[in-house]
Amino acid sequence: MARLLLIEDNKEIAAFIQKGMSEALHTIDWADNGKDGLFLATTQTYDALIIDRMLPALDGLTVIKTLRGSGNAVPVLVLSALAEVDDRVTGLRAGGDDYLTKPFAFSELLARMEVLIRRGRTTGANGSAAQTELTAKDLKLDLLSRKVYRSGREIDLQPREFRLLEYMMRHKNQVITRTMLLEHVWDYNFDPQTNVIDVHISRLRNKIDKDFDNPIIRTIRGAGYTIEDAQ
Amino acid sequence: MVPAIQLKTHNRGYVKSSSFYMAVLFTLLCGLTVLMLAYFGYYFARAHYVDGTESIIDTEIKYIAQYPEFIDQAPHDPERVYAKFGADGSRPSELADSVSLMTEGIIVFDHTSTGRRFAGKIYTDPQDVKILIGVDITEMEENYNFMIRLSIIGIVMVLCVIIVSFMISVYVVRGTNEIANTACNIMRTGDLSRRITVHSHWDDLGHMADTLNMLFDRIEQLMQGVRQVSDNIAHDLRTPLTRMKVLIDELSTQHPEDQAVHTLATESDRMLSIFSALLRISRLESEQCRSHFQSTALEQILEDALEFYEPMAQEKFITITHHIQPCIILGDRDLLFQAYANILDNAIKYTPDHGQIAITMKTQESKKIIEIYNTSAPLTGLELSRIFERFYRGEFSRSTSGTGLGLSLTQAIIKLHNGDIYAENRANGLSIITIF
Repeated sequence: MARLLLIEDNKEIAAFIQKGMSEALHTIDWADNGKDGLFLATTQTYDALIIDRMLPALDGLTVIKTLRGSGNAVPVLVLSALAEVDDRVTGLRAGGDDYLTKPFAFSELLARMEVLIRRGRTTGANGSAAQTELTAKDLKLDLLSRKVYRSGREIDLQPREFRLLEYMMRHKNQVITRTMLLEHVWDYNFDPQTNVIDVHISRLRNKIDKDFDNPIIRTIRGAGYTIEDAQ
Repeated sequence: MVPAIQLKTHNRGYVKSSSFYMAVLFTLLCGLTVLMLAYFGYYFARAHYVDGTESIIDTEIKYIAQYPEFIDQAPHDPERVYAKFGADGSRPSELADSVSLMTEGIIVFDHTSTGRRFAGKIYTDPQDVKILIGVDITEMEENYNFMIRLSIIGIVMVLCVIIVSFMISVYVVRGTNEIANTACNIMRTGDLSRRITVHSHWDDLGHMADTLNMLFDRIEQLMQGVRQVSDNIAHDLRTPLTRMKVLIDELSTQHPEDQAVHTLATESDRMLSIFSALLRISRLESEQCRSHFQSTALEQILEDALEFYEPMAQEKFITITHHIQPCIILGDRDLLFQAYANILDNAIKYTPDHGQIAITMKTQESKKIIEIYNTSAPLTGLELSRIFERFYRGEFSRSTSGTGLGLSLTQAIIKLHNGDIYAENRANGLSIITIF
């Protein structure tokens, strides 16, 4: 449950996002122009913002720059119809935390928002206390020795597989989309054209889930993957 | 496996220009004319001066042989000399001591009293008296010298013509090269705001530069128009497409088991990916935006791409070998990764099971050449030239998945990085070669 602000001038898209976010049990405010959006963002407290780049009255990047200029560190996802890398770079440089290009799948937006909301809360609460260990069920990642144990048994992983698992463990109980994995584990923003990510995941699964009854990595159909852990 | 590369040179040298050939031709023609004139002049002068003088002297000698008394009776003619040598061989007073008599035939001497120049022969009469018979050639010699001077002036003028023609050709070549270079730069960088510097307005080159600049103005306008239209399409279509996608997503969450809904979702995804790939290619081609380019380690990108695709290759038991060396180029790492990812994706798709993929990288003449080889059936020449075309898909690949835009996107990216890309048949396979 989080409180979100959407600044988007297209009514229909705004309606879909609002509907979807409410279904995901988030409260969401909506402004249809940059000026009103900036006013809301500065006077109210939000867990995260979704800002369209092209807005009437005040464009999205200016809104973000103004917020950042006044010391507001609320996580921001930039929404845009411009797909080029250069646009992405300027969007992130202006102070956006994530960038999503239209058209997007709602599941993609939701997954990214969950990550942003979580990040905003942890940095707000216990700061960045360096973790040395990540756990989910009986799986344990030792970040210092780069070793992985399942039920006390060591599992041998390639460096990239370790990074893949680490990213998913850091965002456990959240849906991780394929593009999020590309961006954060491989550190490239690109369109893989084929389901290479799925192949990587299935290899990782082969190593950590094969000999055990309850699987760690779960596929979320039409969205991505998740690692579940009872909290 | 790595091919011999023909590198395109855009900066043509002076020697490889039509103006240079013209200048050479001009010089040759001028030189030939001068040679012919000189030979003609020499031939004429010789016939006229030397042979003419000799025949006059010979006539005189014949006359004297017939009428020996003529020598003493002849009226004084300043243009003739008839002088007897002394019986002891002493020279006549007209002939200075310094003149050598050793030469056969005609002797040239200055008359001791008048100082005029004479040509003469020595005739020995039946009484064994040597007689010097001379003809005044002073004026003739002056004419001869005048002609020589005239020829020298002629040669100097021809040389001037040659030098001037060379200078003109150099000027023309410089001018055309500058125009060609600017045009090349505009093509390569895509910076349509550049113009050719016009140095003069009176000559053909200036006129040509002016005209080309007007052409560039027009192209720039048109390109802006195209970009405007494609941006409008992007903006106008993306929003409804997003809406449609959202609707379909919603539908598929409501009916997770419905096969029709699932097909609908897959098809719409496919349509969207074709749509964004097309837009991306056209934006890359038209905008030529390089402002954010940074020094990028190409070998890192290649290694990452290889590592990324390795599991797919393993599923088909494809062996991948690579020979990669450090290589820094100015570029966009995401785009470059996309470019090589597409090539690898294609390579894996078309390589049969248990096939091979090889990546080699080398530097040749300061150019970086990256070759990605994969086992496959050879392509025809037509196919080789067409695989980078949008929506082009090989004969036997229609059944496989993909949009037919991967290599087009790669080509657009490589061109954006001022590189070249082409395909070549290799032993048992195909190579995609990129050059920076």
